[in-house]
Amino acid sequence: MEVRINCPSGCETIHHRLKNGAQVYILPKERNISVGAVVIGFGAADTEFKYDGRYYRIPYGTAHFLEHQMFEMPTGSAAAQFTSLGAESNAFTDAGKKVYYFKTAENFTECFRLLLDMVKTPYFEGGSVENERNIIKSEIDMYDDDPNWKAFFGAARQLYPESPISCEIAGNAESIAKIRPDVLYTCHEAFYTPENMTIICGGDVNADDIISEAERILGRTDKRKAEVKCLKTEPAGGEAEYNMDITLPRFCAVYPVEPKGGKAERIFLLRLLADYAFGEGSEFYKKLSESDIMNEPPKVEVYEHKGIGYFAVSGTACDTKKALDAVEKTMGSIRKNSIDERDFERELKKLTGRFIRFVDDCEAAVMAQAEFRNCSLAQIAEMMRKVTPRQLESVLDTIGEKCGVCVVRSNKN
Amino acid sequence: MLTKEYDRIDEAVEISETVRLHYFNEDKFNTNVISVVWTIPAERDTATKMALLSEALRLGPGGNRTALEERLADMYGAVFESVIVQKGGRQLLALNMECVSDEAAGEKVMKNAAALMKEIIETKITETALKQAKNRLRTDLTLKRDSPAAYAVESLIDIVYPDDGFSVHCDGYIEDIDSVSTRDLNELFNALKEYSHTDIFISGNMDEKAAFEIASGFVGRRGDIEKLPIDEVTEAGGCALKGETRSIGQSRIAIAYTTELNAWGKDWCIALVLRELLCGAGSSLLYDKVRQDEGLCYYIGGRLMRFRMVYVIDAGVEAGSEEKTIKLIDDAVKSFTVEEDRLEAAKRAVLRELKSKEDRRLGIINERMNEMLLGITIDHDAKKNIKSIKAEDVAEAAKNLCRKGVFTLSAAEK
Repeated sequence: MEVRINCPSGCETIHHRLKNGAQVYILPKERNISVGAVVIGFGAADTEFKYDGRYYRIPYGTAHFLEHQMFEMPTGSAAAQFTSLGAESNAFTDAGKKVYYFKTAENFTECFRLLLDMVKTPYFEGGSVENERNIIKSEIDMYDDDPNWKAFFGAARQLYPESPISCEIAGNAESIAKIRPDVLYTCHEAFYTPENMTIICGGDVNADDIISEAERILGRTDKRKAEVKCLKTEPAGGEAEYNMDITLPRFCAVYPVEPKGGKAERIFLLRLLADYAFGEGSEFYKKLSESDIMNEPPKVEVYEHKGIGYFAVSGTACDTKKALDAVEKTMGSIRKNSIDERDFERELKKLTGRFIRFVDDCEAAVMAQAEFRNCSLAQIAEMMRKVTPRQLESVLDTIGEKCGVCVVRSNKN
Repeated sequence: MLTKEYDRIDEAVEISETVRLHYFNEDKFNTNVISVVWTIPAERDTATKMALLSEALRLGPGGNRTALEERLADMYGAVFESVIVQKGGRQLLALNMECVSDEAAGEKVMKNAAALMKEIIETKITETALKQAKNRLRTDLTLKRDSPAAYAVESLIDIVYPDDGFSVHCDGYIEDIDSVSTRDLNELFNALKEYSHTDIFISGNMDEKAAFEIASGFVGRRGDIEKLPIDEVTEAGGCALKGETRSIGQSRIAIAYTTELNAWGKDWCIALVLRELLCGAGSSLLYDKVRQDEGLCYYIGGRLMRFRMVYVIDAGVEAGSEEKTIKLIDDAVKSFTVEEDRLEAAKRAVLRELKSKEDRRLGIINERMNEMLLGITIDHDAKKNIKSIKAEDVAEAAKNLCRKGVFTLSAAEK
């Protein structure tokens, strides 16, 4: 067990690896509400894998479907059981993982046991799969009406046309029609193994109790998790356009990122770069806001999974061509010129402070830890203090030149 | 309020006439918060000016957001926001500064944050700042329409409370933007500082004397105070119905139900428990009936708007199933019964939600502001109130729910 306390940033962390391979992170905080989470290393982009000697290719949206379905247990709805214990439960899926979690002011141990029982117990019977299909179709429709979502996935598909990382998390109506209980059972068996789990608890919790309950409930197993196909692929690049019933156009430009070296450090540096290049204090935003092209700084998302990654810049602009040209020009400029030391110091301070504020919130701290499963928050806080401008310049080498672009216009013009 | 668990000092001190300092001495967070709030009645004439003032102040002293960003970055990424908040028929302009504590940063941050806040309060709005504010506000108001969910709820409030300050769009009106001048904004700002009800919140690990000194620095000359008029509720008669069609993939419906319960004391707790039973996430009457049993939607939820004691239930549904969903919701509300185990779970959920507010500095501040605006002067023991709620209390409250409006944004046929 590794214990890091008395961290000035408030990132106290206790880390332990169970005998069955699962990792446990505990983030002690003096709060009314405690949070318990289980992260499973199986996300929307993991559509091809090898397990138990067989090769599988599953429909898009399976991971997300499984996330929904896991709340059904032989004993009834897990959500209802959490409610009766006084907890709120939820889950989400992204390209590389699933997170199941609860928040509670009481009965933490009981809720924790329920959470582990839930992820351990696949139950996909009766009409519940069909019913869930309708609900997920409704969720897909909801996201379809979101122009920002459309712009992002439109651009990602241009950059990585054949890759599952460019597919929408929930899939589409055609792909989810193919999901059957047997597929769900296979995925559960292949991925919901202790070695593929990270347990994270934050708040006024007892570390010893958490560790002993996790050992007891998850037990030991010789089962090995599935081997997911590496997603590394050559980026293509290209442009797409859509029309929607919206008022102002949206744009998104996605650049490929080659994962090299330590993930936590790279993600942190890319976030620093994002603020430096496109934040509210950047030259980019200053020029575009002064010329009334954009009135809000762009959003920058950084993500990577299984050998593939992206750096996505998106926003609302009255002239999307000028905005996209400015994005391209900014990317070119930061590649050519060295990072200004004073600006770097300022951005580093800002990001460090933001991190401290972020992890002050118990739920946010748990979710941040879920993002970096091989590195504790305390280690990340230490790493932040040692970052140099040269490291920021070298992370630029991991961002490719090709770009996937998407514009969503108003169909009224 | 749930204050018993924490050893916390929470006092309101009158610095000047109707200028109150609310000071929270709390050391469990790594941040400090300063918030200055001015409150006026929500009126059509002033709504857009207030919204523009908020946008202009957001740019910082001298209207230079880039320079402000640099200063905030140097203060370990302190966050400064200027926001308009609506509470019933009142419009609030809040300046919020949140910064990392001196201990967490390893250097003096709070002193610089307070100094910056003072500069912003004393700033004069320039033409450049106004121009930027207008552009931003115009964009924001245009973009509002792009969220079908938010649009449906706002439209519902418009039809249920057409003559009430509650339906004033406190984030402004596009058609009013052009006519506002810098003189208008500076006059408004000066009037707020001189005549309006002002609340200053300071939450952090510092002593009361230091907090008082900081707050006093924000207050200038005060004139004859304009008393806040009573926030009268004016609903449209009967049940207002309206529908629109749009080229979207999924229809949105929003329904309003009013309650006779009061917004404080045990009544307020009963109202919260009823909300949980009706439309809480994960397990509630509407979640089960509309989503889980019928598969009609992914999202169905509800909120209780405290300053009008109105429940707003909204959902995203497949085109063509709007009427069916509305009927399902209405039937469920009319035939609502309380099961004991669900009641206990709902009470716990409400208690949890109240406790979670104390885990956020701004949560505590918002709660304090609500109490003040509602004129709550007695310390209600929420935990005791919630515990004492019986099934018949909730059943009675549900029986008296009155449907006041339905707004439907239908997805056009493809």
